[in-house]
Amino acid sequence: MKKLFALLLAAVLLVGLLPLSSFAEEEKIVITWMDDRTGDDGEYIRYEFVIKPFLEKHPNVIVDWQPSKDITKQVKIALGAGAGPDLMSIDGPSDALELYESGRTIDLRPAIEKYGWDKTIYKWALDVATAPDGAVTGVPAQYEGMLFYGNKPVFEEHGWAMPTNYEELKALAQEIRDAGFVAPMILGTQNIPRRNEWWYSTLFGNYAGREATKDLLEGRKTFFDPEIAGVFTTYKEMWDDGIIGNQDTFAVTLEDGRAMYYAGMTAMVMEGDWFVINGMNNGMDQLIALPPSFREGIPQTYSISVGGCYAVNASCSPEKQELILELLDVIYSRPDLYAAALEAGDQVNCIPLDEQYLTGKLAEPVVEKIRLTDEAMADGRIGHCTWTFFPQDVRVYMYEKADAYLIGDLSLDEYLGEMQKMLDVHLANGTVPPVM
Amino acid sequence: MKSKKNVGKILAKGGKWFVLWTLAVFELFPLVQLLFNSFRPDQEIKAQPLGLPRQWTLANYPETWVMGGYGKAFLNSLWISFWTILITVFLISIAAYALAKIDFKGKNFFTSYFLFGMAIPSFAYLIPTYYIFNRIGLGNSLTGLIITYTAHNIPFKLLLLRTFLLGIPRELEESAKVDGCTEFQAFLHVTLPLAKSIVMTVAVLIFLSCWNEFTFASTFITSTSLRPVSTRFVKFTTEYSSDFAKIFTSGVISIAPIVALYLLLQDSFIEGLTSGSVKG
Amino acid sequence: MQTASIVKKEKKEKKWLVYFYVLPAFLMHLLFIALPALTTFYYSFFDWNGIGAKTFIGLQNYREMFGDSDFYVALVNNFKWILVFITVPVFLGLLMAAWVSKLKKTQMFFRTVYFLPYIIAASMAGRIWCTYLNPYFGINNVFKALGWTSLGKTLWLGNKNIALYSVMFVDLWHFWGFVMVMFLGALQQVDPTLYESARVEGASKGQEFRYITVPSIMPTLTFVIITIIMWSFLTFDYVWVMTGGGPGNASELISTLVYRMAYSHYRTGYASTICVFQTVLSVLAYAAMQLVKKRGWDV
Repeated sequence: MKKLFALLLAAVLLVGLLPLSSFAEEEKIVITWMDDRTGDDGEYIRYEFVIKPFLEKHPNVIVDWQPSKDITKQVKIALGAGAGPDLMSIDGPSDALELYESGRTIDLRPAIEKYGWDKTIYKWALDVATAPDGAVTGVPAQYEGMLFYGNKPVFEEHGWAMPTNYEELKALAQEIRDAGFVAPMILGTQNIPRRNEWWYSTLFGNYAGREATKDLLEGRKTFFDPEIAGVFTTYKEMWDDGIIGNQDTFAVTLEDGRAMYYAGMTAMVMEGDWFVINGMNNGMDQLIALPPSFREGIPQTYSISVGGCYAVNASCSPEKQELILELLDVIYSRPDLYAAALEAGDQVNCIPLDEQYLTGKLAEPVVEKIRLTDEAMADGRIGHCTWTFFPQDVRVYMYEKADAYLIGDLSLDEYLGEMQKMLDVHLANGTVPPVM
Repeated sequence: MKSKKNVGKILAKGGKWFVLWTLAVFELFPLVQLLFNSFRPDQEIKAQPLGLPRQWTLANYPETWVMGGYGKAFLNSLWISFWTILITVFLISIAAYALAKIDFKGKNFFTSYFLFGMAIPSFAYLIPTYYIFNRIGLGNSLTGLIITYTAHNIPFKLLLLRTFLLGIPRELEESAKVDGCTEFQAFLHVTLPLAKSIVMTVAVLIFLSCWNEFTFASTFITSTSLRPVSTRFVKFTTEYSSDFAKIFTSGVISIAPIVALYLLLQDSFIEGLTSGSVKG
Repeated sequence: MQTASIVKKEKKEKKWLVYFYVLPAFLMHLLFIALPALTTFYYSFFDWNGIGAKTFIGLQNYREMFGDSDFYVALVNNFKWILVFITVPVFLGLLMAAWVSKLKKTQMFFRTVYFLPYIIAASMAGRIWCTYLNPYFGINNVFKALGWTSLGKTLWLGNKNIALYSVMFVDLWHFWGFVMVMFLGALQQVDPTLYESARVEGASKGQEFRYITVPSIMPTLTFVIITIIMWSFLTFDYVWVMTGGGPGNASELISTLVYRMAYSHYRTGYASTICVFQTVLSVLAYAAMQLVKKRGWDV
């Protein structure tokens, strides 16, 4: 018993040292910012290249920066309970639209025009973040798109090249298998079925193509049209044929799938832009390419999405809103800081990077990727990532049922039919997200 | 005949030890892997998730501790656990005593209520309590968490304690009352000392649940400086790439105090009633 | 003889004082959990995304739930979960508690080791286990090395017939030590003099177990089983971390369904409905146990 009391006493003493809560000085304005940047570098990058420059101009403000995992859930719970941060970096335009339509966030179009962000932000990205009534629901943050990566030393050793079309991919996959690899590539979806939509997005861009996808989302085509249905049958075909894993993608976690690539058990991966940094961090020398064309007449396409949006809480006072916009302005009007953030490993924003920074201190693979995707965007060879362009329930059904479809538990007709049913409702109600 | 019996006995004993150790290895294996991974560079884990460290490193610990802000997080968690344990143990021990020992109108109702309380999914009250705490100024505060954890811990721990108290013969308290004790004094001076090891077990279980709780901690607490230990590993995860060396290290760091506490209190666990404190 | 004096003394104490023993805990729980949770019942009648305006739709969510095939899959999986969890950990926990309680020097070691997995967060243990069960890195390599090819090819978390059981296995790894500790607590309470006198009277080990051990731990056993049943309806962590309910919906549980509906389908109203049903189920399970008890099966 004595021991217990000693322990309790120690605990009391320890606890006594604690300040009860973090108290802000009265006269300062506090801006709370719930942010999606969590990793090791996230805090540093946000503080150094956004918050610090802002605070230098506004010493009377405190930015209460709240990095959060699972940002959408956090924001939703907070807003649902009538609270919520002043500024929130949410997952993308579909979430931004939902918050806006629920009356929780403000229209940012006036701000965008006032600060001239519309001149820098990519038009497609701004269009995507625009509600049917013309309001901008969130300022587009980073963009993401789907790419192919190859293990460079392995490719050079065998004299392989990144595939430019489906036939080449099939042939290469066979060669990789013949060379003794466990599989040509694998994308683990075990704990997070959502990863399936990475493949679907790639195929909407490179099998269906931009026009057909646009037709689908605007009601001129259905899921049953061969250009669209082919997205799903091609995925299953690659899965059945062992181009992606060994019919076991849902028995492998994303991390274990990546580990196989890093350990030299697979030779390629299909992932998003973010994998450039991931590869660099793991000392992998990579080939980076647009995904192959999967259908005659469809160019190699970069399927893109807006990977995040900044939305402003409607409960903020006008002066606070003004301060928040000034904070955001640091992100959009300071190319030097943006370049520095990129150097530190930040994601790529929906604004072009000036040529002068491309030759500077930026890492080689990052520059290579930016050049590759800039070129695709300039040519209009861009496609639709499902999580930005498809209605929420359609895309959730699409990825949640992917496993069932791949194993054969769900027939193609039923799969497509269900998605078409959901899409039809959105077409009738005019609730399909803006199409580019 | 006799020797055969002996052989059987030895075999049985050997078999028992075999099972004990096999289970121990089975239970420990994944945890040892976790420990190993905290001594490996992240790059190595990413290429080979399992196995012995090829390249031992101690760097993960200081880096994780500093980056994760574990100094502050430990204080936060200790503060939360301390008050939750104190309040909960107080509330449930008297209530469990009443429910186990005293006959009164509504006893069955209360017992059933707490059983029902165990059946409420946390999803059902996550958002409403968040709303309430925001309204009464306890949003984003450790106090809000302490209240929630206390309420959350009450049903199961109360009933557990009650179950154990049922095992203490009522005669002991009755005789104390004959000697002039009030019911409360009997509880305090007779029952509680006898139930010491059980109360301690319950306290450890409460500590465990406070220390590991993630959903409420990550939802209620938005300020980085107020976050408890259980939410800190998030710092090392991002949507697309996570630092597993640090995640595993943070796992080791966050279970260390519980293991330490467990070992520290081990004597009192074993003592319990077997130490002959039952005075008939 | 003695009873008379007790009654006399007790009369002095005010009977209603006892409510002060129970009410604080009761009110604490009622105010901060039960009453707030009632809102979920209220939301279950609405079409609501969690943040915007609510639309009252009466019983439509309930009608949808009873026609939702995913819901039935989750329900059946939950019942499988209960069946496994009220047998395996209870049996194992009881057996090991009996053994461990007899140990002297090593007791604390085994106690700690068996309990340790209960301490670690599912997010970390789950990840390690996923890798063990991965077809390329984990135990399958061991099976292949041993020449057990078909075992070596099994997708422990990817085969829809096995996935749920694989997760159960891991959750059992994590859970049974807790059950054992419960039983150990109960065993410690058994008055050692009972065993001594039994031995004097020449009782066998089996008789000792039957007539002394079992009756003394009966309340704990009952309580553990009730708890497991209730918790089984709420179980979430390991399934969510390891399979997310997949492949397809092979390892879907009610809790994972609620979570998906609320946070990936943005259907808080419908999620609330399932959540209400989940609670009702646990309560029904408890009521059923009470009924069994009344029928004379003395648990």
